[in-house]
Amino acid sequence: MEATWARLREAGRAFRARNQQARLEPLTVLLDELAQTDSALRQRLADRLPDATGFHPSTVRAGLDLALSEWTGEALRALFRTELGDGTSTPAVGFSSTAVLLGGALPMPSVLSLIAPLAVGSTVFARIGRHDPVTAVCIGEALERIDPELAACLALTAISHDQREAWEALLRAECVVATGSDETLSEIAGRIGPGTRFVGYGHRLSVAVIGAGSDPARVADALAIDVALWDQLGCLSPTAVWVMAPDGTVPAALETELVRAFTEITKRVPPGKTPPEAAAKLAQERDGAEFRGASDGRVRLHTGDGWTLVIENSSRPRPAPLHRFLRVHPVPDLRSLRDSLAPLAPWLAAIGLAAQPEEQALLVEGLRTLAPSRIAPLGRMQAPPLGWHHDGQGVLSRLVRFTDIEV
Amino acid sequence: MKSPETELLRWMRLHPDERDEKRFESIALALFAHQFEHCTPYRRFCEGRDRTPETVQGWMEIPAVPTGAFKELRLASFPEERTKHVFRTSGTTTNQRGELHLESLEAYEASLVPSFERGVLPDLAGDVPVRMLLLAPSPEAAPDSSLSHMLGVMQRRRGDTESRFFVEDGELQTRALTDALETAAITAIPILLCGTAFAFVHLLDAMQATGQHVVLPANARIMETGGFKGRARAMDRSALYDWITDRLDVPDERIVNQYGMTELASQFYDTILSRPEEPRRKRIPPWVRVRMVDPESGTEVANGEVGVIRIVDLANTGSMLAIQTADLGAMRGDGFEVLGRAQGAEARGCSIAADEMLSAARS
Repeated sequence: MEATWARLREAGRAFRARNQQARLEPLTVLLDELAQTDSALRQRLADRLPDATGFHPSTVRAGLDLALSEWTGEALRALFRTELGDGTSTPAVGFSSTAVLLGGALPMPSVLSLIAPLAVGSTVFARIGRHDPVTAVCIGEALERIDPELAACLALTAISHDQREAWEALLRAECVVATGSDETLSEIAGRIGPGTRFVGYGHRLSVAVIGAGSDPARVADALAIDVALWDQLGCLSPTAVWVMAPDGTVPAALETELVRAFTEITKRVPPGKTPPEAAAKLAQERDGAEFRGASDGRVRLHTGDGWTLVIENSSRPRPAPLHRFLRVHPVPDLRSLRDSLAPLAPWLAAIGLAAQPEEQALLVEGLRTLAPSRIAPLGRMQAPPLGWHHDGQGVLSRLVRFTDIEV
Repeated sequence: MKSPETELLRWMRLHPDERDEKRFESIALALFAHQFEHCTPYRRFCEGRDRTPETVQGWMEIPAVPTGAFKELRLASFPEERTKHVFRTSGTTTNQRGELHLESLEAYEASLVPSFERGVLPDLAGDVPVRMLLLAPSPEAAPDSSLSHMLGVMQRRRGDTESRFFVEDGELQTRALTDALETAAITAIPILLCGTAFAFVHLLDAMQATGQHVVLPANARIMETGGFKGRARAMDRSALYDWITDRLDVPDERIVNQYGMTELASQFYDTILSRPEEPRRKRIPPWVRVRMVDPESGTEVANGEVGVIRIVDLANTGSMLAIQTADLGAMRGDGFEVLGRAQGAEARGCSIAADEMLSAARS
């Protein structure tokens, strides 16, 4: 580990000697390649991720298509300008070293966690997560081809949990970026030095809201893709949907369309492997819904090949086992909606919204006080812009030190 | 004709260790018919699956109630006004607590006593008093805790005069407990520590903080139960046992895990003390049947393969005898193993399940 840090220090010195534009340039090339569906880099990810992550190849392809199409080089330049300005009155300096602890099987957070510190001139020593051993390696290989000097600023490791000394060495970086559960993040935060910048991205959840006047077929299709992508395991995947229903019942037309849309999306984007523990939880929640439904006709269970829909009888949030399991809650008004979502607010990544313009404005106004990181159109929940405020934070601004020059 | 409960009690008292398939089947079907008739939500659930006393031919066909349903509905086969006792789940993962309503504690206790004796005290004659140091609130302090009730029953039957509960006002009295351990360590009375795994972590934390070790005698034993679900801190069971050995000098082969749940009248104990020469597994009492089923198809998996644990417990006379858990396990010989989630396992995605988050919001 020490030898790697020494090599990174050396590489970082040479890389930081470049001007800002020259530092950014190879990363814009990388992102443009990622955005192209037929690029070698995209093909490699699409080919290698299914076996490594357990997602179905169609899910990987559809997920990458939707998420990366707008993560272009120009988007990175714009993000740089937006978050760091032109660097004259308030120059921003990246940390000389950043340790990145990757987590989860979704590739997009890994892409962003790796390129963002490089974009601000930091070297990156990344620990690859068990569930995605592919993305970081593909990014490293691509950088080697695009700009070997930049590639030398990136090192990867796959140290295991019990390699205590290696972890201590890794966490000696000036900045530590980590993705994981709140428990993992607090453990990491407790192990880093007092002067180290810590940027943690915790596990979050998302929900959807459908306005009263929405077109059932259109919103059902949009919601189905938001749920199906990444098998609902991403923090931007809606775990439940609240339907504005003044009479307190989910409209029959929407229920019918949801069943159709979930059936259809499963054919186009089949689910991946479900681990036994998740399958056990899914079975428990399905059986529970069946049990409640036997005594309450308002609770209805629909299941298909790898998906579950539960029409609920109230707006109260319930356990969400993920893996394409969606609860559909009726909610009579905005106040009840806010009350229902309030317990989830500290963990809300995104609210997917479909409503007629007038109702949409009211809903946005009402929901923004819950401070989700995004309020996004239904069907686009899995396609955040490059600069989305993940956990309410800036992408680049947390990775630099600003200096206010006031003289 | 005798009621199914009377028949069950007679069998349990006469032959507490004897498996009798024919008798099990007949009591199970009679209980199913009784519960079908007297518990409306269960009857509707069964009818939805086309399972009625007329169509169900064997105990394996009895529809199993998901444990989560105990949080939603009163699942009892007697009128509410005849409820004598209610046990509640800890409610660590959602705001709702599961409830087991009992009309009588007779079958409950007829099940718990022999299972406990055989699992935890198999080497001690029935009249040998035991120093029971209990890491739980007393039944008086926690009347709806099935664990406290069970420990209270056993304390009355087997505990010596110094046996006591060490959780007061929700706090483990670590100082009093370690004092009691040191006193017990120099007596000849067999020592038994019982409590939740999480309570043991508290005890060991306190002992570690003060550098304390207690060398318990060779006849000491430990019974721990429960997991770490909903707790801020989790620990692998083998790491917990190592820690216990380190601080209390009780070796792994003297530590018994109990698998139980509020929704069930019967409990399952490791065979490590009763059959030390065999691999550790959970013993199944004669009045209980355990099967591992595929969570997607609901069909039984082969012996040794991983499935979801489904239990038919005849001691659940007034409640639901067939229970579908959300726990994974595997049959091992004539017993079974409960499979926990590997500690340190990273989540595959970055979404948090809503029950974990709701739990955190309410803690």
